[in-house]
Amino acid sequence: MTNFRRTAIASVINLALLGANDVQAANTDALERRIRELESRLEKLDKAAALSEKPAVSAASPEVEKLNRKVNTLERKLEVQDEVTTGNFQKMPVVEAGADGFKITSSDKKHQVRIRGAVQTDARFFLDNNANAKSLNTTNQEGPDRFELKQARVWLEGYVFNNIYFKIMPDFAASGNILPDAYLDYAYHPAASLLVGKFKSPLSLERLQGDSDTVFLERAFPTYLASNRDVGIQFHGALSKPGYKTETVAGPIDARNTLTYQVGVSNGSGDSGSPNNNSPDTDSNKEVNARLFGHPFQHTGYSWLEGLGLGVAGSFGDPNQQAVKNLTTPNGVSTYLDYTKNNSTNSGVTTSNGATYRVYPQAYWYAGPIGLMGEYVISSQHLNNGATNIKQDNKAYQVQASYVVTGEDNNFGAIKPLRNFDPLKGSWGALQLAARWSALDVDNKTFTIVDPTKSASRAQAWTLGANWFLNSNALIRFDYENVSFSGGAGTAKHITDRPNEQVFATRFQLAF
Amino acid sequence: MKNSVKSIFALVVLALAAGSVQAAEVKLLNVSYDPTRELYKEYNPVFASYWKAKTGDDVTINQSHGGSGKQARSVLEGLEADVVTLALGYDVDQLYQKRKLIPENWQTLLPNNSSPYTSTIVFLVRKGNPLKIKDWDDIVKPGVSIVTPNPKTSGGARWNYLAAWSYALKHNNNDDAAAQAFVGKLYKNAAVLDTGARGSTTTFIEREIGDVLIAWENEAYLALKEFGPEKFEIITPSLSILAEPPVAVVDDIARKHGTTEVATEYLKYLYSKEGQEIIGKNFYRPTDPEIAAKYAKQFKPLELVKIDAFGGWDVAQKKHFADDGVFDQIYGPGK
Repeated sequence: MTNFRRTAIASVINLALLGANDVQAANTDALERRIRELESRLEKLDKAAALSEKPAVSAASPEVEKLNRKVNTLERKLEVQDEVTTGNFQKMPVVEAGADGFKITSSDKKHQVRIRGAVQTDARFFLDNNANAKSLNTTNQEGPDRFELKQARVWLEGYVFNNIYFKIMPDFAASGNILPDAYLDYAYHPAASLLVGKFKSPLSLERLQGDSDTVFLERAFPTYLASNRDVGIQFHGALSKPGYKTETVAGPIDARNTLTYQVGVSNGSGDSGSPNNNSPDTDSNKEVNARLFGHPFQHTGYSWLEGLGLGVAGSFGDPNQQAVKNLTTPNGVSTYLDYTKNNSTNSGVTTSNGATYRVYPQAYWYAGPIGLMGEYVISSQHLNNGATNIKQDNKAYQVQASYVVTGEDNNFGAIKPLRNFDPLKGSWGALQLAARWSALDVDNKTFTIVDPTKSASRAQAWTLGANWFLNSNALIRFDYENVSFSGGAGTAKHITDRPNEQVFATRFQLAF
Repeated sequence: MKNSVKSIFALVVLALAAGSVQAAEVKLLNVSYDPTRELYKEYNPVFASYWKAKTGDDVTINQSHGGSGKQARSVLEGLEADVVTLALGYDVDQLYQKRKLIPENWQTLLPNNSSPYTSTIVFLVRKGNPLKIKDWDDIVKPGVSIVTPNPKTSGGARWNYLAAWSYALKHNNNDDAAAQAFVGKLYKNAAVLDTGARGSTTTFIEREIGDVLIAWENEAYLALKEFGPEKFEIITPSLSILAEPPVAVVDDIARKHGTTEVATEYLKYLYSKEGQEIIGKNFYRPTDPEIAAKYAKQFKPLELVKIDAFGGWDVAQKKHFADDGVFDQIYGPGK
C-alpha cells in the first residue's frame, strides 16, 4: 500500500473522530472499535505490500552453479599458488641496495656478500713556493700543485656460515700495491677470533681508523712509524662488561666493545710499509705485535665518559737487512727524512738490521659533538749502512680535537648528518671543524748515516681542518697544514732549517 | 630410640637424594607429513607419560606438518628435526643422500622397514555418490573433477599417482604407454593440486571443490568421522597401493641436541601395544598383528600393490617424479 492511501484513510478516520464530537458517548466506543479494525487492516496491507516489492527468488540455474564452482576452484588455485610463491620467496636471497652499499643475504641469513666502494679525489696547493724551497734538491723540493686520484676502491666483504668473515679490497688508484686488504676472519666467538691474510697492523690508533673516516686528509706523524698493512695471522677478541652482550666485530678494528685485544705475528713490513703482493717476504724473522684497548667507562652511566678509550699497542721484530722507507710530510708528501741521501762517510744502502720495537700508548674521547684523539710512539730499530750500525729511537706524537658544529655526535667512525645537504630545503649536511698538532723527532744518531742537510731532525705540523658531510656517503674535506722543520737544509758546516711547508688540500670523497 | 634415629636419618637421606635428582626437560621436534596431525596429537602425550614414568624426565614434542617432500627439503635446509615421520622412504632417504643426517641403513633400524603403520589410497565422494564412482576407471572419465595433491611436494600424491598407475598397468597388460595415458587423463581432471594431502582435504571438504578426493585411507575415514557420514562416502577401489610411511631418528641432529635416546624410544613406542592402538584408532593400519586384527574390520578389503613392483622408491622417483620425469611430461606447463 502506498503512503498516500494510508494517509488518506487516516485522514478519513480523523475526520470521523472530529465528527464524533457531536455524537453521544455510546457512539465513541463504536468508533474506537472501527479505528482499531482499520489499523489492523492497514498493518496487513503494509505487510502484503512489502512482500509484493520483493523480487521472486528463482532457483539457481545449472550455468550459475557451474560458474560458482569454477570461481571456487580458481580461488582455491590462487590460494595454493600463493602458498607456493610465498614459500619460494622465503627461500630467495634478499638483495638490498642503499647507502650502505649493495648486499645479498641468503634467506637463512647465514651468508652475505656486500659490495662497497670508496673514491677519493684530492687537490693539493703549496702556498709558499719561495726561493729557499727552490734551493733544495729536486727530491726534497715541494711537489707541484696537483689534482690526484687518491683512492679508487671497490671491494667485497661479507660472511659465510654466519661467522667466517672475508674482505677483498683492491685499490685501483694505488701504484704498485693494488690490494691493501685481503683477509679471512673466523669469528668463532666474540672473545676469540682468528684473522689471517693482509690487514692493518694493530699499532697506530689513527691508522686503525677507517680510511674513509679520518678527521684529516692525511694521518699524523705517529702513524708512519708503524707498518700500514702486513701479512700475517692475528688472534683477537673482545669482552664486554658483565651483563652486556659483546658485539662480534670482524676485521682488525673494534671500537665498540668494552675491552679488545689483538695478538699477532706478521712478516713485518717496516715503517709505513705495506707489502706488494708480487714480492714475497724473504726474511724468516717475523714481527710480533699486540694491542690492548678498552672503554673503561662503557655502560657505567657516566654518559660523558662512555666515549673514552685508552690503550697501548706494541711490536717486536728482528728484521734482517730490511729496506727502510723515507719519511714524508702528511699533506705535502714531501720527504724530510731521506735514507738515500747519505752523509759523506757512508755510501751504502741503509737497512733495518736487528731488534726493533715500537710502543704506542693511545687514547680517544668522544662526547656529543666533541672528539679528542692522541697517541705517542717510541719506535726503535737498528740501522746499518756499511760499517755503520746505530740504534735509532724515533719518537712521534699527535693530539687532535674536532667538533661537529651542526650537532651530530662525534665518533671514531663516520659522521652521519642529521639532515642531508639539500639547500633548496634549507639543510646543509653536517660540518666538523678540527685542529691537530703533531711532531716527529728523529734520533740524532741517524745523522751518522744520513745527510743532515737533506734530512730534518724534527718535523712539526699543525693542521686545521673542516669536513663537510653532505650525507652519509659523500663529504668534502678542507685542510690547511703548516709543517716546520729543524735542520734539513744548509751546508755541512752550517745546517739550517728547511723552509716551512704550507699546503692547502681538499678532498672529495664518496664511500658506500 | 636408636631405630627411630636410624629411620629419621634414612628418610632425610632419601629426601636429599630425591631432591638432588631433578627431572630433565627434553624437547623433540617431529617433522611429519601432512595428515598425521591427529595421530601425533593423540600419541605424543601418551608417550610423554610413558617416558616420565620410565625416566622421570619431561619430554615435550613439537610437531611440524606439511607435504612429505617439502618437509624433507626443510630438514635438509636446516630445520632441526630430532625425528622424521614422513610419507615415503624416498623422502627420508634424502636425508642420507644429500647430507648424511641419518645412517645409510636407517630403514633397517626399526621393525617393518621402519614403518610402524601402513595405509592405502581410496576415494572420498559426496554423499550419494552422484557420479557413481566405483573404481579408477570412473574418475578418469571426462567431466569428473578430482582433487589430489601435487606429487612434486606431497608424498601422499605420489602414492596416489602410483596407485593409479598400478591399476592402469593391471588393466592394460602392463603397458607403460597405456598407464601414462591413463594417469594423464586423471591429472587432466584434477581441479586443484594442493601442496599436501591436508590441503586437498580442505579443498574438497571445506571449499566443496571437486567430485572425488583421492585420499589417504586414514584421511578419508577421519573426514567421515569429523564431518559425518551424511556428507561423504568412502569408495574403496579394487586395487590400490600399500603405502608404508617410515620413521627415523635424525641422528646428526639428535646427537647435537642430546636427544638420541628419547628420540629412539619415541619411535620405538609406536610399535608398542599402546602405540599401535592409537594408530588403529586414527585409521592407520597397525603393523602389530594382534592390533591389526582388532581393527581389520574398519577397512574394506582390496588388492594392494607394493612399491617393490616399481623397483623401489629410487627407481619410481627417478622415472616418474624427478624433473622431466613422467609426471612432468603429462602435467608440465601448457599440457
